[in-house]
Amino acid sequence: MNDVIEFDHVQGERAELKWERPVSFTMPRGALHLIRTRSTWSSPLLRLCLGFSEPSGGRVRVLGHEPGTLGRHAVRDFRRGMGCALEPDGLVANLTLRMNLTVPLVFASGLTTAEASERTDQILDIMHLTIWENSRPASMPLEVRQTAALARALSSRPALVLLENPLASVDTRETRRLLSLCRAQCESLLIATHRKDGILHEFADAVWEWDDDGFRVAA
Amino acid sequence: MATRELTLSGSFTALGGKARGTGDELLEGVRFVGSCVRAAISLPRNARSLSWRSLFMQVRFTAVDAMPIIAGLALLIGGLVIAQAHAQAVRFGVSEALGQLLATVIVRELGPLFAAIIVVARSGTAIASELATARVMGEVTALEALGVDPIQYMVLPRLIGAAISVALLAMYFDAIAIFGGLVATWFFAHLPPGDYLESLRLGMSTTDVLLVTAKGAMFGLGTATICSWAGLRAARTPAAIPQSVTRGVVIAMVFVFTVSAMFTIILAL
Repeated sequence: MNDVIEFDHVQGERAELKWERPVSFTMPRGALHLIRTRSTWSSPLLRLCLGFSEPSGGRVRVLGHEPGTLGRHAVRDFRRGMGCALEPDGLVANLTLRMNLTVPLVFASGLTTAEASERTDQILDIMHLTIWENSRPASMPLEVRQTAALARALSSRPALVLLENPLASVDTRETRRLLSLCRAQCESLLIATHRKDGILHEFADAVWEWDDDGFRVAA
Repeated sequence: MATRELTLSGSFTALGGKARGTGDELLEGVRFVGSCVRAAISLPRNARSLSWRSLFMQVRFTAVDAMPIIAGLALLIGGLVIAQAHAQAVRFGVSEALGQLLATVIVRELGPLFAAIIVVARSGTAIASELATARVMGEVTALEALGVDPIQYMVLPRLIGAAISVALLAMYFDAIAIFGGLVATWFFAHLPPGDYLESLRLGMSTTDVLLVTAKGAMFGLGTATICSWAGLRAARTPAAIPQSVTRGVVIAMVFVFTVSAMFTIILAL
């Protein structure tokens, strides 16, 4: 089992059929794959990977599980092996940045408050977010929020990270630095984006194009 | 005739649909209570310190910050009830029973009820709007995506905090209302404070304190559960936030009055 993600003729979310052509692709362990598509399709695709919905046709396997078929507790345990930064970023408004990183480490990763705090310090430091640690999301600029969402996704050192339009407001140099960090901090990464700039492509092992003509390897 | 039948059948269909909707909501509410119980049982030991912190914040907001308004209200109600009761009591020659009247009407009934109403208005609305906003802004989904149980982190401290707060506020309300009654009896009935307090002592027992605490805890728990449920089931549009708040507050008010009436009926049997 070398593939962390397998989509086999997947035909959209069960509740709302959205794709005319089924999607098939695999992503091997240790790879960074980039899917270039419209925003209305990237969210359902990542939701399928996280087990928020079931496909209306075909099969989705992520980290050896079919997420849509898992029970309530099993799906929570399954998600604990992953990190994600979706749109909107979902940073908790009434928590400081530090607490936004600490809470998932304590409640999901099972760390003690002291261990979580230590890990939070590390991730704040490497992401250059320490000066924002006591700020609440509403007082942070957009690029800081996006970096913070990425920091939260990476904080538990997950086996697989799913990112939706990451770092869209971050400058090129910082994006490059943060993507290098992502590669160092987690094993496999799937990025879904509508952006066509080259920075994300530089880091990707494979780039997929997904539009009305179907899902295919980008030219 | 055909039109009338159609209208009648349409009305029945609408009524049936509404009844079904209400039944589904009730079932959903019961499931939510079950989820809260399960979340409480499975709360990880390492998460308790963070939960205590949230609980402390909830008690501070719900109980401590509400103390001035509760004090003002209790003073007025204690005084007004006694002033009104005194006029009637003099007519029937039972002025010495004013303390007992205060114990029955205010301590057992109005204290917990008013404390709960204030908490529904202040904290119930805050809980429902915070959680609905968290749902709309994707905070709940983000936490779920990271493997955090939103009920464990967001709901449990609010439920326990509200239960503790309303129990404390009900007793606080009673204490201030008794003081208000004392001032009113002294002013209107010229009853010596010693006689008033003796009359109150005769009208109250330890059971009343337990009853007030139990009622307050139940009102607080119910209010926070209903408002959390209403907030978390909000649709992901900004317009859903005020709708969730309204729904939560209305159901919580109905809950508070119903439970209060049930307590009174059961104790009267």
